[in-house]
Amino acid sequence: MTVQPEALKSSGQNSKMRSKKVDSPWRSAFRRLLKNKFAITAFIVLIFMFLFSFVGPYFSPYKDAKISVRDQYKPPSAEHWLGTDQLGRDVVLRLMEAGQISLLVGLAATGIIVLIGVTVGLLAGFYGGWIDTILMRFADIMYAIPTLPLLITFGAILSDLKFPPDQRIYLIMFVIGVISWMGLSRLVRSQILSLKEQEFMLATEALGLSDRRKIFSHLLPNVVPIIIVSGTLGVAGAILLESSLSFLGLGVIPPTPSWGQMLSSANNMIDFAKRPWLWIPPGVAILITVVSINVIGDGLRDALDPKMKR
Amino acid sequence: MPNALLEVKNVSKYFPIQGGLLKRPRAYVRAIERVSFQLQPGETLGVVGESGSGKSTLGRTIIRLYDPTEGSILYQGHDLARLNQKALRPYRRHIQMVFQDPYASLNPRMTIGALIEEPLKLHTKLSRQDRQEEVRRLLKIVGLSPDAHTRYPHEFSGGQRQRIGIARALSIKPSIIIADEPVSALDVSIQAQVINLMMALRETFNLAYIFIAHDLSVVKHISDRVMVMYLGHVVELADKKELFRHPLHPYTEALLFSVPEPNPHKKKERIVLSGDIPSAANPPQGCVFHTRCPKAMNVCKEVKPVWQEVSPRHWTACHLHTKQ
Repeated sequence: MTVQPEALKSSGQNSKMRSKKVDSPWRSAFRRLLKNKFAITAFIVLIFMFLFSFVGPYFSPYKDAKISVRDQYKPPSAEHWLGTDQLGRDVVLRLMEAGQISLLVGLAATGIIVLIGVTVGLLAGFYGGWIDTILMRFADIMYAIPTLPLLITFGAILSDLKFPPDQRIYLIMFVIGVISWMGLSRLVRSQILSLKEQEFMLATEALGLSDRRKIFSHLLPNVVPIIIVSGTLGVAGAILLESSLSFLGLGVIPPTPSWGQMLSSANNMIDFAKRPWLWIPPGVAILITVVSINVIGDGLRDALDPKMKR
Repeated sequence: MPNALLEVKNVSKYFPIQGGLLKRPRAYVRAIERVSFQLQPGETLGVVGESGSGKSTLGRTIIRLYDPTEGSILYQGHDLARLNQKALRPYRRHIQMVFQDPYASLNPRMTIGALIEEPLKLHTKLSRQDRQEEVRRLLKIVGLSPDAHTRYPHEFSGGQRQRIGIARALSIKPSIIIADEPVSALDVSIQAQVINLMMALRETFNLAYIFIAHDLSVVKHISDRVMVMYLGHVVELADKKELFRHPLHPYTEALLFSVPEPNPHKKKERIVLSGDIPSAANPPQGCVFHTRCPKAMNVCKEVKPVWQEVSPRHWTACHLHTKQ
């Protein structure tokens, strides 16, 4: 079977290809993201929060668990920029360590959300039929359970079991993940359903590709943008959820710090009226982190899906 | 003809209309009904008909994107209609498809190289290097730069994308390509290029095409034989010249008269069909076309016309031409 390309070329609007760099969908999305000043600012702020939490402690002159009643409730000063708490611990250092927990919980919980949500959504959307029905009805049931009462019950059980505080955060991550995957799974499922009707999926069918290849090399790459955006916004949600839990005394408990837990321990009339350095900094930290994550998420959505312009 | 490449025998496809709590089918949409034809190696069969006539369903059923409700699809004597998806895989490489929408038929997140290479990965034992060599060769064959393989579909125009779709279908050297309205989404000037490419490829690779279209002038250009469909039924099948010169079925006549005439001074007779194509869920009794047929007789309302060879190689199903 020899072919003379020349003979066939006559019909071509042929080989006029620019020789600039390959413009992959990811690269052009990245370029669009760079143009979004809000998202970039938010990204820098978020990086700062990470550095503050994870690298900051090495620059602090104070030690982690050093309790000194003599230094109790000092207002902000040159030695203690944000004062000290009821046990004489430096609030700046406390804020850094709390940040580690809050950010870790947010990321890990999101990891679990993405894992469960994407798996369930992919399977339900791709296979349809009774698999879809079972998985999605299960998601509906999970949706129907009100989050806060569930978490409060759960927290109470943990306290009753005398669960060690330092291991409690892992369970919190897990629980937050397990109760918040439904939204993502619905998103992924609906996206898969619409992709399945596209002609390129018919083409994979006509080629006889295996289900695994169809899912991993054709469907998954097309839902990754949704996963990224939803995952980013999920981190903010998880941080907030952890903060509310800890604030209610049901999440992270002392001595492990988290931003929500810091707010919780300042939750009394005297601290509120007289010692604002105990509750303003963690509150501001939560606010800044969540807002910048949300702004990044919005920026990513605009960058990854150019069709969805406001 | 015993040595037909593809023989479609009495193939029907009904889609269930599900309803109620238990999702039991309430009724069926009869998308194609008892379609039969043969395809010889290297032959191009044009399939025409208006929207809803079952042309696309026919193409997709032959390639087993849909499971036929009844009938058999014999590829070189092997009945594809009876095979399950796994047993079907070895036959996939012999029949490939080119799709209608060049913007939807290429995965936007894969490079052109990966798209064309994929069928090779699945159906051949070529090494990675050989596969890439093959991709470059295929790109050249369809008139694109071999260096295009690192690019993504969004960087190409509709016509170029359709060439990529053709290269993908061609990659595993099929003997039949089902082209489902491959040019109807393209500009007229680009249409000609793609059609010419397809015709050149037909000569080079001895391809047989099932060319589905609603544009008669395109079909007239590329086809050897033409099959006319209406509401899931084949109403006429003949060699191209014969069909365009002596259409037998009134529906074919009406279709031919609908082709725009470039010469404004040439007066031509007009047959305008009134009404819409009836619902395939509830097709008319007797001849399915009798509700719109200008020549309908009483017998048409009651008796289904027989599919028969009226003159050599010219088949139709119409009471006007039924031989006793």
